[in-house]
Amino acid sequence: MPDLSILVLGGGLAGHLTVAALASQMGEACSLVHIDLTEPAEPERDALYGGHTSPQAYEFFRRIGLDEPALITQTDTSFSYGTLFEDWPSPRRSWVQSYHLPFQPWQGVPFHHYLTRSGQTLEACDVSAVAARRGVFAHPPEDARTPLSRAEYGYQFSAEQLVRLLAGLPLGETVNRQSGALAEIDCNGDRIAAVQLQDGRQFEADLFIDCTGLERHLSKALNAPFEIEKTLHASQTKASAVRGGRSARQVRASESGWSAELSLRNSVERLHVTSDPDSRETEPGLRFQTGWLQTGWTGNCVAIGQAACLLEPLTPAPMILLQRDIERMLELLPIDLDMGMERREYNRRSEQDRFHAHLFQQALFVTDSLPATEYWQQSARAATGKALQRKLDLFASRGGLVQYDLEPFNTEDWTVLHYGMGRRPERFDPQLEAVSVAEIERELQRFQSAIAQTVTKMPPHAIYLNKFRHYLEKKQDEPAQT
Amino acid sequence: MTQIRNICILGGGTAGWMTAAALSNKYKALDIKITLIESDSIGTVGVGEASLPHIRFFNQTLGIDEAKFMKATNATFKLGIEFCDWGKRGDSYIHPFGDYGIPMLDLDFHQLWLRLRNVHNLPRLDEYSYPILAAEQGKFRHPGKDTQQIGSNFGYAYQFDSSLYAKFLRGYGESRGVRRMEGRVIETELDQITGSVRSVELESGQKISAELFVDCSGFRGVLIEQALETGYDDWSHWLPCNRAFAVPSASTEELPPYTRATAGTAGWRWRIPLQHRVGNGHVYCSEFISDEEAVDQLLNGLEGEALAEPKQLFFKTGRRRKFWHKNVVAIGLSAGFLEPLESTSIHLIQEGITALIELFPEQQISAVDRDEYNAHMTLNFDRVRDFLVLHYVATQRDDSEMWTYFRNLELPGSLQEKLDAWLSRGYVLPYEFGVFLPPSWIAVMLGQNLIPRGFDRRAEKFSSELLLSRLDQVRQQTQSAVQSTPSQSAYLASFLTHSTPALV
Repeated sequence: MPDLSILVLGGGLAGHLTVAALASQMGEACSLVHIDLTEPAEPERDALYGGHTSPQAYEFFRRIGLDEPALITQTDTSFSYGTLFEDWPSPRRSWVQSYHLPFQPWQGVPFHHYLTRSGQTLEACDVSAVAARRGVFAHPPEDARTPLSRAEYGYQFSAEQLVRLLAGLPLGETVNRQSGALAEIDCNGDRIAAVQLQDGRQFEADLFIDCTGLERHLSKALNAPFEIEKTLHASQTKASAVRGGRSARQVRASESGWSAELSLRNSVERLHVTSDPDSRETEPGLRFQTGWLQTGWTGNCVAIGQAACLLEPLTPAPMILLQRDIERMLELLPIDLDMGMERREYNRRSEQDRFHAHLFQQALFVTDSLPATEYWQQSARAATGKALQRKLDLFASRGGLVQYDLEPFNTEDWTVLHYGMGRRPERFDPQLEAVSVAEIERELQRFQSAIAQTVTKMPPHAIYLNKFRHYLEKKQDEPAQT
Repeated sequence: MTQIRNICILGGGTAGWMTAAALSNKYKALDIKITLIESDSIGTVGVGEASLPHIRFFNQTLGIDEAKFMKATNATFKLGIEFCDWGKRGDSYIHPFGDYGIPMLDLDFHQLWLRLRNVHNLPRLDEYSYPILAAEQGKFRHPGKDTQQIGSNFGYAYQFDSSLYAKFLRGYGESRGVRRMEGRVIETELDQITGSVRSVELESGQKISAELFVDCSGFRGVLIEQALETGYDDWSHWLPCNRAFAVPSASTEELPPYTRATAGTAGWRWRIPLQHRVGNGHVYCSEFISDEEAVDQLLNGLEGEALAEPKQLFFKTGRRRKFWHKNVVAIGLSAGFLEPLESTSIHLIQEGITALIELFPEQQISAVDRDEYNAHMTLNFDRVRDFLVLHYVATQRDDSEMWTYFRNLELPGSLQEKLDAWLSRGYVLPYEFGVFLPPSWIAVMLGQNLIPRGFDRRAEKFSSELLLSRLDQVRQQTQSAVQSTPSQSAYLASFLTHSTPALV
């Protein structure tokens, strides 16, 4: 197998995560140049990843040398049971889009059919949702007898801090780290030959990785077509900590869009996203277009994260896609310079991932009661298609969950979303005909009180986080046991 | 809700009684009448007596005790399928139910093996598979509890007499209220407006009405095709075998824990060892061989004495255009036929039953349910088809008209992509829904001499010394786990004697 030289262009979250992943997974088995561009960039860019991960990030971070103790002690990262949607899409509709593990069937019947049968909602049965509402947190214990063992969590993080932490990771000799301002990209047909910096330095490579976000420098040089979905505007604000920060990210709908709030250890970060009418030209912040490259891998260039697909960060989809891009790229690092097989397969899978992540976000706009404003109407118009309809129809009809191959959001995510949006199945599983509503209510009552009791004993998120951090710091200070 | 009150299952073979048993168990608390019509004068086709591990889940759901089931059906344990003469004449390999090796260094085990075999003389990948080595030595025991351990991370299935299984399930179903009616359907009455089946009439003049019909009438598809004319997708150009002879033979002394499929010049022969006899058959394509020669090849290949006259079967590979049409759901051979090369017949029955329960209709059948069922089953059939075709095209054989035919065959796009990716670098295109997952694809492709040109680059991170010692370790652990495994004959005898059957 010929050696492979790789050039990663772009810093930021995508660039640094990509380089850390390549270095940890490949070691010295490839030669790696990382060029961090010194062009000034708006802080909103990385903030558009949402500052919010799903539980899948835990293992991904760990593998690239970023374990939980490092995240907690070296940044203001906090925990998250999911997203608290408020006023979505109409005033007073609210739910926690939690990361709860799939609810266990009762007597072979999917759990949510009991809710349909007895006319109840999901949230009181979801320990992580109840905990998120109360702003409390604790790590899920292993003991399967407590309801909390079914909770899963992700992180709320500051993109800026995470990038700093990543940039400081000891990656050893394997990475040639450079920075500079981009001058030119030399192409040869559908291939990139070299990247030139303004100081005159030139870098060649076999495989180029485009982590330049909205700029898509490399993909643009190859004329890779980008499909635009919406044109939006984002601005970010920060405030110092509010005591008792939430154990979930909050997303609140507004007339012209939505805003999200991250509760970090020492601060609160808010992101406002609106449609982009002309009158806003002068406002601070960032104008951006959501959409995606038709093919994430063109010629010898793989676009990662925002450079490949930019979805508005309503859910952890942007981080999930970033992670999947990196993992897919690692798995398909080309074995020769033709790259044909790898490119085809990478594009097949990335299109599938993007499509399925997008489906999940589209489902947030399928409802009758949307504001008449541009943002909402535009989003609703885009939320169509057979694949989405199949999911909505089967749920509406009988609480069934259509699944496609290897979706980034699982059936539980979809159940929570449907319930949150106020969708209720017309029918329940026929087996429940033989069970009385009173009996189901008793069982659910018991289930819910166990959850309520558990949650009462849990500490506020901020207190838990600080105690956990002190514990980790103390542990780090202790001399290693020999 | 207006619940279905009457279900009529037409046909009482494996498909009919599996459906009846599953529905009667699932809906035991409900007021649903299940009627099964079968005729003693219509023979059933024993649709392959070998199964896939999924059948254990089916039996468990029904609360069926394993030993009791095995006794009732003369079952033996099955660790995989041995394929002989497929890649080249004289070749053989086992497709096991389980991964190779154990997950190591975050990479698929076969990638480490591919990486190392370039620099070292490695034994075949099979040496790192507990179920393959155990099968080769005629051994079996149940998997251990810790699925991360060698000797525990494998699945197993059974080889059994499917007509006895149908009988066993008949008892199960009847004790749960399934009404069995003897007779042949001579007339089907359709609703004038909706075109749905309203009732079927038997020779006796008796009429059976139902809101839902399950067509388990076999190849003919009495309801789905003869009455509703649903249509059939013919897959003969991909899977041209269209006939078979089946014959039981006397047991030889061993009790191999695997099924054998031997490729011939115009098809392939199966050998399925049961407790009391061996099931044999020859699946062939009538364009490439005469019936006489086909039956001769079958009889000449028997290891024991033939116990009956060979029985001939006719079929056309493919699947129904809609598995669920109007108020008729086709399960079993009426849904489609794929040659039993990978023991999928019973599995597809099971898949159909599971999907029917998940999408169980009301009296007013919803198009949403029906469409979802059809989409689900279509995907399952298509993916099994690709896997079966793989066996015929991943080959170096060209010694007969049939092999030349396959050599020139244009493959389904989904299969061609899969082959290209494998040959390039040992990559298996992943999917989530479908019965054959990557280890199965790896087994067949490697077993039929498709050696990838490259391997996953991430495997280069490790020194060959480190990899070699890891692989050796896995190999030794595998060997020692197999060493302490009893022969299937001994294990089975003890299992059937000592386990106390639970009440069904």
